[in-house]
Amino acid sequence: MDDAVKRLVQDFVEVSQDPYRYLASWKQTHQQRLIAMVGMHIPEEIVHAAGALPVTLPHFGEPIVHASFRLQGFFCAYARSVLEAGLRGALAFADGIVLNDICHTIRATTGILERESERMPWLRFLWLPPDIGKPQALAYAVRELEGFRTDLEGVVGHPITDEALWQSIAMYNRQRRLLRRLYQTRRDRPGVLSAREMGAVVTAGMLTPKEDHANRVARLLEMMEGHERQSVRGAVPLVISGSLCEAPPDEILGLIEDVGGVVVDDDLFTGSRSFVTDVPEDGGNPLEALARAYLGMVAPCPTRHRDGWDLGNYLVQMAQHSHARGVVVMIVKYCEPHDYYKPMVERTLEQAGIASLFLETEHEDMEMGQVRTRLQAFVESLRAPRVSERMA
Amino acid sequence: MTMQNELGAGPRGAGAPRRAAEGGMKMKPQINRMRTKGSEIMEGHYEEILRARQDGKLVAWGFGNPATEILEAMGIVEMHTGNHSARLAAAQVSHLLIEEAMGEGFSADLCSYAKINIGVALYLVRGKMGQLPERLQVPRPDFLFATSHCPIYTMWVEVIRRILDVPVFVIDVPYTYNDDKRWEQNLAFMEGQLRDLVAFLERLTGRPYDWAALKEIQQRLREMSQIRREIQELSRQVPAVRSIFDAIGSFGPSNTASIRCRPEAMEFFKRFKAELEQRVASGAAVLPEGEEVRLGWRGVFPWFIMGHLSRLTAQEKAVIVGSAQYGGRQYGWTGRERLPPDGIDPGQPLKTCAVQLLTNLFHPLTFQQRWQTEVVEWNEGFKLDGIVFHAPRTCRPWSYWSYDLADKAEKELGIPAIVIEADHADPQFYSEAQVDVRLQAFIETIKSRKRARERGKGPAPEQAPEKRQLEL
Repeated sequence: MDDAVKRLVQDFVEVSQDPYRYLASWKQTHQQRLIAMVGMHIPEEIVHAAGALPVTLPHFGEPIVHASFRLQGFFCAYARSVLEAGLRGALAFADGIVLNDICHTIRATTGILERESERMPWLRFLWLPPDIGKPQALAYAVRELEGFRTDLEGVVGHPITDEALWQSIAMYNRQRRLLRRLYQTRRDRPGVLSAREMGAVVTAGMLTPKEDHANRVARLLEMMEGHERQSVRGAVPLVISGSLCEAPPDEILGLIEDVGGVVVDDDLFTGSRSFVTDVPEDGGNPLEALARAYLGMVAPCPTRHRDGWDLGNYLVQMAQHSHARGVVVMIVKYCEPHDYYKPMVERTLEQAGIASLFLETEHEDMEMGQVRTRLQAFVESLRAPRVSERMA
Repeated sequence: MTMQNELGAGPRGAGAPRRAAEGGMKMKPQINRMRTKGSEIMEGHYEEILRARQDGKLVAWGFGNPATEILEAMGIVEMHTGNHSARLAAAQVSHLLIEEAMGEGFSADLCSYAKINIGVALYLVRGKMGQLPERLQVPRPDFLFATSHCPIYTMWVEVIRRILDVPVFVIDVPYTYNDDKRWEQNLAFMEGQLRDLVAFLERLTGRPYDWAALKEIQQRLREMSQIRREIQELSRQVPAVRSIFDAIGSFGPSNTASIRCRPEAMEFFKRFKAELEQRVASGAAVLPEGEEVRLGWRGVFPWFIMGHLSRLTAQEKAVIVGSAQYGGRQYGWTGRERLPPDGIDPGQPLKTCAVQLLTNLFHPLTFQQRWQTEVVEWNEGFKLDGIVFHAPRTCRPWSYWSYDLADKAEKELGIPAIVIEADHADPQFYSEAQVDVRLQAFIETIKSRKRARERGKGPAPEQAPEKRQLEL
């Protein structure tokens, strides 16, 4: 790899490797407010427009001890780890925590943080209509975001103007466009960035100031587009999907490419799900624009409902568009919403003739030897020439 | 967690629950059960569902707590999927349906009601319905009707839609968080959706909506809720004149599907109340040999062991008297402050539905609201000696906060509490030995604490009778 590119990528990796430490030290060296968000679908442009640093909380890496006494082991480890961070005082860097009603586990986490509110930062829970196709949903979502803006103004102590919101929206759209270009580069030249590197690039964008991040991605693109970096040859092109509220375990991303696969596109939370939907920049009420982006989300989400939506078809199209031979779906253990959709997604992929491998992931106690074996077998099965190729 | 680890090691999809410990019981306790039972009315309801097509009626499957009376006014029969799943669990056949769903790739971690219902849908499309006894069979629905009270309903209903290929109507219900600030907004949102539902039903049936029928039903619901309040008052007697095992028989008629809109349900509650009055007058206690411990039960019941739980508690001279779920917060119980004086106003039919959908039992509450309605109020009303928190393995909303609420009950009310981990409908997550031993020990501790207090040297109330602990 080109040294300059390597150094740039390393900056992203450093941020995403120990995020809680990064955030704590960021807070110490900056006067800015920091608002931490838990889970999906929070219109963070509003937080940005408030002048605060919006941060999507990643998995807290320390062992889950205190949270074990509060939230049973059959709730997802992501939420339990965030709760653990809260109970340990490891969220002290945050001036506020925002949670969105996406599942029972988030409701559960909110309630416990609330019970401990005396030692927690400001807490705000959002409720946006899960049935995003409803005619009533837009008005409701706009009202909800107005309430959020008002409450946030109370925290930062100044009004959040429409002008500031439009600026933030434009900035976020720019970042999303840049990331989409980066993904296009990967589709064109598979392996130009590894799955781990790409994960680090996107994750860093959830933790660092957006302007800096967007500029770094732009620089990375320039370097990569300027240099004719070789793509890997002979590796099996794959799409990876899932892990709806957190980054998948880094080891798995590494293993997928170690055993001969190459990730050509993804449908991850810390991946394309975070940038496939732009906010319309057409004047008027910026909160309505944000609400419309929420209701018009491109990537089907198991926690949301819209007639005719199909996560399986979405993956089929992604695999076809990126010339992938197979899809690896990572379902966070005890992610009930994702579990409901698993058999349907599996069937749709199968009917479209796209091979799939489903992995149940967790950050603690995952038997990586077994994962390696399964991934190896999966990639090898795809490497074997297809019947049609043999016939030719 | 101990229980999960032990159960996890066992075979998944194991059959009906074991009955081993039952043989070890000391002796058959005397239980004076009520004669008025809701089961007859529920049998009739399921018969009606089964012959609906030949009666020329449409059938809906309801998920959550849909505004059934809106359907009922149009002569549409609603089968409540949760109730049917509980029924299959009580009949000890839920494992068959769960196996069917799991064979299709659905995770054991899904809500057991959903797993069972997915199994039912698969039985329907695979022509296997005949394998169930007729009283447990249900027909293919004409459409599905869900509310998002519980976030999983929209996912569950989508699975069923794909299996059965029938239309769906979903009503989104805002979570109660920050309710007061959002009340008007919530109400407008609900009323808008309900108007769309009316239009949907008009299209489906080809008939104009029958508002007069809806008002008549709501008038009945209002009267019924008054009777149920009186029943609730009568149920506070010490010693108990009815146990929760008598009361859950009335859960179907008070809360479930079409049946709760009918004159038969009204008749049932009148009889139930009359019998209770009679029992109060004659001093007929649930436990004729003496009641030593009064327990509250928080959360859904494990339907497949109800008889066993009834005998087990009676054996220990304990009676489960109150439950926040069964007897309270049901239709017409709540919403009084939102729509005075009754929470039901037939003059404003859609607003009534909206208020009920936004306040009733199925509406998930915040931690503080749950503490108030499910612990504090029930403790005051029923003079409880202890509270059992059932944390079902696959029902997240009844599982979460169990440990926090139990902890708070002990610390702030000085009332002993225990968390039992089992399941509402999936026997594979239930270990009889574990539950029995823990319940018996809990009751024993309460007894000895009461005895010690009577002798005047009891431990301070903040001392918990048992250290509950989740294993790491």
